[in-house]
Amino acid sequence: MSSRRDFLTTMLPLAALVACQGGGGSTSAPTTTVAAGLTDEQAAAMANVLFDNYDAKGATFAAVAASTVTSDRIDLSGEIDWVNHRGHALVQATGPEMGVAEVFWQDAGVLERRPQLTALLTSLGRPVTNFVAREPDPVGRDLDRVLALVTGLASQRRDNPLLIQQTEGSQFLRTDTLREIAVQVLRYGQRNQSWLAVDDGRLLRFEGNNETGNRPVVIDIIHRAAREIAGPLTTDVATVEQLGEIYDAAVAVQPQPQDSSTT
Amino acid sequence: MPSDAPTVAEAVAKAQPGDVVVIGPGTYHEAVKVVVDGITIRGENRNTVVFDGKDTLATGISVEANGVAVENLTLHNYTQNGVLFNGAATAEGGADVVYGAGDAVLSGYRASYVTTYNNGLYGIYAFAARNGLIEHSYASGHPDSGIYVGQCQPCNVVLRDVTAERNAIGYYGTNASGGVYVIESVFRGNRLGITPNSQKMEKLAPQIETVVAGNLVVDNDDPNTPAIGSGFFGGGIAIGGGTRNTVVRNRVEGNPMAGILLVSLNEFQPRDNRIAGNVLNDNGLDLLYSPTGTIEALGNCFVGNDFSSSWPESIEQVMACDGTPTPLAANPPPSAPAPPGADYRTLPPPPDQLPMPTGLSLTARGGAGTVPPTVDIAAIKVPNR
Repeated sequence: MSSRRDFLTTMLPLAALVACQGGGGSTSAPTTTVAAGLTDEQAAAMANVLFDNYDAKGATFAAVAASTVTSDRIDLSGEIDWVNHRGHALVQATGPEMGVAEVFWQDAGVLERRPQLTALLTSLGRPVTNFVAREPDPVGRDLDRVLALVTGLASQRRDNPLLIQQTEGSQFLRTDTLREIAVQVLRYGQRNQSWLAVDDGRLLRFEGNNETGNRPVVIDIIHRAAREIAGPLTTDVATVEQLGEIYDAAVAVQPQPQDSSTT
Repeated sequence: MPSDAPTVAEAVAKAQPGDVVVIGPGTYHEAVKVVVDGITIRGENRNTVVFDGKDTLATGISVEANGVAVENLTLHNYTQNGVLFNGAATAEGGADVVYGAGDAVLSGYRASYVTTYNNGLYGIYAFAARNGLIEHSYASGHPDSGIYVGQCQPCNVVLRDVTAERNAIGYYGTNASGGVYVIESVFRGNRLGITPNSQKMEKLAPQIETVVAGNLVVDNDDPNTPAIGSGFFGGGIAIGGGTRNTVVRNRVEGNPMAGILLVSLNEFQPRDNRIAGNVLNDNGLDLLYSPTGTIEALGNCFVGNDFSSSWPESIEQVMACDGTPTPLAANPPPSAPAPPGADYRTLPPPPDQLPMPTGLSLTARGGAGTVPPTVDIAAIKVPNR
């Protein structure tokens, strides 16, 4: 019972986690740049974003999380089932998450595939499982923070546009073009920025940051449609507890960085 | 209307202060904004004058003027609200304005004999507004709440003879402080019945001084309702971090989580609330005091309630209104998980509701200049079921 969210599962936890800083993807030069507060219509569009996504049920997405301090970077390409809170993504990362190649996740857990772990199990003659099950850690791990954000881009309930309007920092930023689609770029609070299609208001890109501004995350919603995400076979999954020190050893062994031209 | 103007919006735009815009039977796919002070918008028939947002329009009737009354009509399937009284829209001064306080507020509003259902946020919503009356009205199927009064101080608003059912929350009063009376109404089959509460997302926290009296708050556990966050499904009356609220002579029954509960919300603790003379039956716990991080009573007290279970046990002894409170037990019992929520757009419409009794033969009831009425709390009795 720490916020309105606890009553009503609305969007604002995103505001607590994320905000607007540069980011990847293809955006043309802005066509209009007028920083102003949100009109009723713009606030209503913002209020509708997550509900609209929930109605769409799911999507494919691409996400980039980059530290401005350490240059650590995580690239995700995957799909999300917003109704059942299940996702799947391929991962390319530098920094602490470098060893992760693939994840499945839901609210209660994350399954991650680490090729280094698989190799280690093989070398030790242990039964080989490709995935490790662990609890989500969106505070401690950047990867999990991105997964939580992707999942959190949908809600069964609209946000309150009056509260969006009066939240400090909320404003219309500009019109623009993203992936050849006309968009308006709106900011909610100080750290959330959304690219909404002009024609129907759908979310094309979400960009945010943490309170200190050094963990920008950009999530591009590519194609919205219901997704059915089946995880790996249970026989291919071991828990962190089952693997114990072997998991810790695999995490400690960082693979060689991949050629940046492939990312 | 429609004899004098092709649309309600045009009729309202033509109105002058003191006018009554009378709307004939029909279904209107309109979003009407009211910026003229002191007008009344009246349906000829509550059940056949219907505003249908068709899940595309935002708010049915959005009032941004003082002293406006809306009465005797139905609004449904707007993406946001059925009726909105919005003082923030008229406030000047940009980000420095404290909406709902000082002069930056809508003053005078009334909703009477209004039916709202299946709108995307609220049925009847008063924001940064004061001096209001919401009466003889009905709200169902709202994902946020049926009736919402938020961000005002003093609010000076009376809710009476309202029925709110099958909403996520029946009455939601976030940072609604001073002269708030929720009385002689029915809150039934919501996920949570009534909740005066404090939150940081809105200005003017913490919430203080709401009177909840003489209401029937029953069976707030209908799973076929929009979702609500964990911890509140099955609650009757929840004071969430509110201060100096009075909950008196309500009948609170059949709420499987708790009948009347005092809890923390955000960093706000429930303080100095008085729970007196209520009749409680068949609730998970009849009375529950469960602040976060403290075992002190914080000035909250319970007296003269008819109940059979509480946390802490013997709550009227350990949190007496006329004695020295004793240290309390920590770690209250956990609440049950909430069932999945229903899509508000799929919920059934309500049956016809009681129309304004004398219809058009009434002289204009006027705007809200004469409201809120004086409330005699002492005269309010525990309602029968």
